[in-house]
Amino acid sequence: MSESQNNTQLTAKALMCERGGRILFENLEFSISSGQAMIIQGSNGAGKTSLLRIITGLSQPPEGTVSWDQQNIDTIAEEFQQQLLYIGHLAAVKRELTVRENLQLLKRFWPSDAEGSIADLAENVGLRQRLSVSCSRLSAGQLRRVSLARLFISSQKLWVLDEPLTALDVDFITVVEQCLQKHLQSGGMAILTTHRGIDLGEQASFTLDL
Amino acid sequence: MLAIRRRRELSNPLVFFVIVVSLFPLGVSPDQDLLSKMAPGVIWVTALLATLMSMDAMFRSDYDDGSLEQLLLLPGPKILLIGAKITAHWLSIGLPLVILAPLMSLLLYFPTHAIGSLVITLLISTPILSLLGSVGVALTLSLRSGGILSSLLILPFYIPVLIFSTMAINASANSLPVSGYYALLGAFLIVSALLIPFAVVAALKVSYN
Amino acid sequence: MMQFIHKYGSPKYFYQWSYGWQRWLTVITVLLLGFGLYQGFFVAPPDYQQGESYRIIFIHVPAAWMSMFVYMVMAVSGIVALVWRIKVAEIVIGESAVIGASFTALALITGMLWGKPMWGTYWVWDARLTSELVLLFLYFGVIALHGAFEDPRTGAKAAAILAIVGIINIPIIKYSVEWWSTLHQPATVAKFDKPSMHISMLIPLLVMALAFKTYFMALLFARTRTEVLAREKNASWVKEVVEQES
Repeated sequence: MSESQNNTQLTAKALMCERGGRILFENLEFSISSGQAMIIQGSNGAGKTSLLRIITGLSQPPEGTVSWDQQNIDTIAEEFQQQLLYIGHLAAVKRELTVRENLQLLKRFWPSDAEGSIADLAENVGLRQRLSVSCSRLSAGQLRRVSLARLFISSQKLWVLDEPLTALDVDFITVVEQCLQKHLQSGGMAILTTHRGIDLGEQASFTLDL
Repeated sequence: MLAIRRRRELSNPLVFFVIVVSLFPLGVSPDQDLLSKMAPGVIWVTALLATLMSMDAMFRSDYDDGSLEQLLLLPGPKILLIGAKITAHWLSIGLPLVILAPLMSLLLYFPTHAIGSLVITLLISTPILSLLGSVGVALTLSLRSGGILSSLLILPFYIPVLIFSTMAINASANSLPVSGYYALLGAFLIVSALLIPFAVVAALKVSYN
Repeated sequence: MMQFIHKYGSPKYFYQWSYGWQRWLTVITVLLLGFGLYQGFFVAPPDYQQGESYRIIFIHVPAAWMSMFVYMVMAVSGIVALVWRIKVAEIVIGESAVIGASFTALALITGMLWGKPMWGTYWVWDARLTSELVLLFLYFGVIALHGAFEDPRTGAKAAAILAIVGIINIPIIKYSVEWWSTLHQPATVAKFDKPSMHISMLIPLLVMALAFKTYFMALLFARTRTEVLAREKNASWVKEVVEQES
């Protein structure tokens, strides 16, 4: 990786967010660079999800800017979206389709250099035995696993994860943590919200309280 | 592709269309002259309502399960994505309506020589219905009672389509020239196809605010 | 240009400069309305065909003109709100939708009242009345959409998009309705804007049209100012204003 890529930064300046006339946060500033993770904490309704949506560019803040490499994400939306992996609290899994079909969709929409078949991917998330099961019959935790499968084939630099650990069992939480550590080690960045702690090993991380 | 898995949802508006059209002879009178006169209007108004009923499905499930936000975050032009969505909607509702309408027109004693114009107007106009309707659903996506509200927003916009189409069919039933109407509808279709996807993208962004 | 828009559109500055405008527009409206109504109702001669009942056009026609004009104001402020994200423009959308719907309803009601002596029935599917009815539906849509969102700013943006789509559609709707009505009934309906209108009728009509415009502007300023205060209730300048005025 070249030097300039290593210095990529995501910066937020003077962010403001209001819901129904109530100000959730004001003058919020932060900056993360390669290899760093930011963990957002706060009580329900503190604006965690709203903040993540602003960071992804899904919604626009009434005030303030988010920049990627010193450029406003709105002006370089195309470039930014190529580097962005966002997994919201909704699983984005089609319940009418089987696990296999959903994973195929993932691979089609987010092509990556990662080698491996659908079966390997299912192996990663521990759903190999259930490839041809319709997703409407999966449990909440299994659905979340399907959506988290994207982490294993991601080539994006910035991961934005909304409550990635919800409904997961202890074993798979460790898998996700390892996956995150690997991502950070290779120079990626991550922003995530979580109610419970997350173990990122030796990787640099800091917490933002809302 | 996904719509196929949801057959029931898909066929409901079509069944609605068939039932409502058959209600008219029961509610008004089985009189042959009267029905054949009313046929274009009845079929068209019912087709409008059936399309509106189906509109909500265009983005609703994608919005609810989070796929829509993923689609919006994909790199690449959003316009194409919206265009694909609208096309898929038309294929699943508009096209079946075009096929069903001639059958239903027989129940209303519609003159057979004008059935061609009925099919052509539906063929040109049902995509317009899908296009205009998509703005309504995109705007009301984040609202709980979005379905009814979006019908309320969109129905007035359907008026020109309704007028031009039924006028064309009536003209054809009276053996008058109809190509002018087709040209107008075609122009309307082209303009909507060019402009509406932009409005839908903007509307989806508002829904996510 | 951008700076100009942002300066005059900032809630605080708007609240300051609009006060003078609102006051003067109100005075002008009262004068024009007084003159126009007096001229229209007492000075203008009765119509040789319709007698006295035609006088309702001094209200009906300006209201009908306004119904279109206000929709345009709404769509333009919609563009301003979406492109430059001006808060005041967002407020103008909602406020003008309500005023515009009232003008449209007024035009419809006066049109129906006028129709009774003219056509012997309250409602005729004539092109103008039908277009006006559709326009009322469009206003209803904007108002309903605007109110459906909990967050007024989101509501305003949604309404803005609808208004912009609407303004492109209105000419098509108008055209289609006119065409439809000429096919379905021969043009026996008297038109208002015949060039042969006598000058003594034309002047009050134009004065009334102007009065309606200034009335709209004054009302819009007043309503927008109130709404600006309500929306910005947390801002420090609002607290100062409230303290000064109470």
